[in-house]
Amino acid sequence: MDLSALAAAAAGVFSPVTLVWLAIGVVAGIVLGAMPGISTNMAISLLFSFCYTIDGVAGVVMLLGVYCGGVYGGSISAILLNTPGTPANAATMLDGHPMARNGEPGRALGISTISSGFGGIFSAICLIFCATTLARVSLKFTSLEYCAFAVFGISIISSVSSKSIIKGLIGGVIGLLLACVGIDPISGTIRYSFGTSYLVGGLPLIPLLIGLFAFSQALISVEELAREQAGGEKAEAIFQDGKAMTRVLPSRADIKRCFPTWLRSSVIGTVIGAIPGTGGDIASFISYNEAKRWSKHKENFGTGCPEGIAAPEAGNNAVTGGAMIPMLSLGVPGDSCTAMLLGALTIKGISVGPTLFTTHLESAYQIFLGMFLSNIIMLIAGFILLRFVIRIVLIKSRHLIPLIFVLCFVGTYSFTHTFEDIIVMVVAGLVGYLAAKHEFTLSALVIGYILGSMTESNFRRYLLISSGDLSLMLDHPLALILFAAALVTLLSPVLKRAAEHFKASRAQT
Amino acid sequence: MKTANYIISLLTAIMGAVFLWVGRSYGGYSLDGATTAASWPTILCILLILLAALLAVSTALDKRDIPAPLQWKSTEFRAVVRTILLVLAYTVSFRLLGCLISNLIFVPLFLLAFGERDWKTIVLYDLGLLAFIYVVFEVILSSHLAPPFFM
Repeated sequence: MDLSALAAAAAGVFSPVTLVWLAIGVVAGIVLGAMPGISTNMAISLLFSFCYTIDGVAGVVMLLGVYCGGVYGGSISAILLNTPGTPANAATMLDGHPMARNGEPGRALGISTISSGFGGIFSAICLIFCATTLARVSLKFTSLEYCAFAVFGISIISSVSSKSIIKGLIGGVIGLLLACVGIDPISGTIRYSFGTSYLVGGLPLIPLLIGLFAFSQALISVEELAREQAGGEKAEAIFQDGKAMTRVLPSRADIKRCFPTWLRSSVIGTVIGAIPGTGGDIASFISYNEAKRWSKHKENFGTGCPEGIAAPEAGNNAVTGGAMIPMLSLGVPGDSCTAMLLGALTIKGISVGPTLFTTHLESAYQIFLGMFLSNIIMLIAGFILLRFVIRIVLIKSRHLIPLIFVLCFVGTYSFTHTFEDIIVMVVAGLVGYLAAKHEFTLSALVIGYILGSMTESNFRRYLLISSGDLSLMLDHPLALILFAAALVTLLSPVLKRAAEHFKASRAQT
Repeated sequence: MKTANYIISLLTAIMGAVFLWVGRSYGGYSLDGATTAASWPTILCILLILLAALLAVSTALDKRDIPAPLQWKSTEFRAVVRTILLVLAYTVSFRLLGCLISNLIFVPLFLLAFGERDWKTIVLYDLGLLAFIYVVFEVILSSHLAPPFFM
């Protein structure tokens, strides 16, 4: 460990300005994540422009805070409103809301807070060890392995996150194609600028992200509001404010009971987070199922069991550190949130991959410290601000949606102060809304766009070195395994259907 | 949903074809050691056209009757269209009148469109939002807000 780089990193992260921005990020993440209809993706994209305008490491650290806080924040509405604030908190509703209905909302929220903190801190520690180890191993990777990782990441996201694999793949390929706009990374040729100087530098990332994740989601919220106003179902709040909340800090008995669940779920969440394409929602359900499987009180699950809250919350927050492992060491984001964080690092001039731990070691330590501190501040803020956040959760959608639209415009403009960015944001938002309605996954498009340049450069570099001889791939077993895994993932629904058909026809004969 | 899928398939194929046609001027389509700026986009465009065809075929073979995701005559879709029109007007206003003036006009319009009828709430919300944007972006972040065209 380079102590001078660590000292420099600590000086940067522990400066008052950075700590204030980190705290703001965590609180903003908790508040936005707690609001149904605002996902962690949306929260990060809304605050992305802050990252660009804030000097130094404070902006990136603030976004880390939003990431960690956002995943936890969704548990508040899951418990109180029986509506997950983010998809990663859907499993928390299963026992969180019943416990709240049984007259113990404070206990449910307290278990959720401490479980999230445990999972997040556990995965931050794993991040520190695993990212450095994987980065050292990846120094031996050639351009073909990097290309294979990117293809594997896009294919996993296309197949796991989408209702339709074909549409997921179309989204990923369109993302890769949009990344071709601008200057070719190898020959320097200007591509697809359509005669405008604006597109010479490529499609701008911030307006694209804000449009796809925030603007489009705001339009979906308009639909939900219209449905509610037309007489649809409204979420019923357990508490109208936090005054009547008692016993928020978990008891010693709850801690003793939940500790094995925290450990198990944190491991599950970290491993799942490290696999590109999987996210907090998968981790939370797998953690819940495993907790139920190992529990001595299986029959209590679904009725307000403490382990039923501890498992999904520890699991989904452990994803935050896990997803950062491939992002920092290989440059392949684990989920769409880390894809946006990757974009933030790129804008700040920090290149990820193995070179992060050689040429930007101080930045790597800042990210590690930032993740660690985010989870600690989230733990403290979660308990202190609970009563305040409960009131925020009850803000009406008709007051929230105009705020989102205004922040989309102002945030986009603050990036480069050009009106063309606003147009890109609005167009991306409209396309994102239509895409989301038609079963496309926006994560595949964003990750395709972010990884596009890296995938192309590595692929063409491999072809240059091998003079186009694809048989030399046989000398790269890891790359072959990743390409094969990508193919299997994409073909798995077809293979599964064929196997079921074969079994059914055998059963008939 | 079937009609929507066929339209998506067509638009995807058109996108692939357009990018392929525009990219023909970036060099040959060689995949030997001497790759050009056209090599990678060509692969992606061909893949996109193939995926578009696959989507069309899988839609044709799908016997499920899935309702269309956008119900044109529904209250929800009309609310979305109304919002989009407002946003487009807001975009033009943002360009011409700048950030503060356009927010002064459009935030109340958004609130009215979403069902808020209490004028005290509308005024306080609008002024509060303007103050928040000004303090955070102009003062704290020194990121200047969009000015009107006459300034």
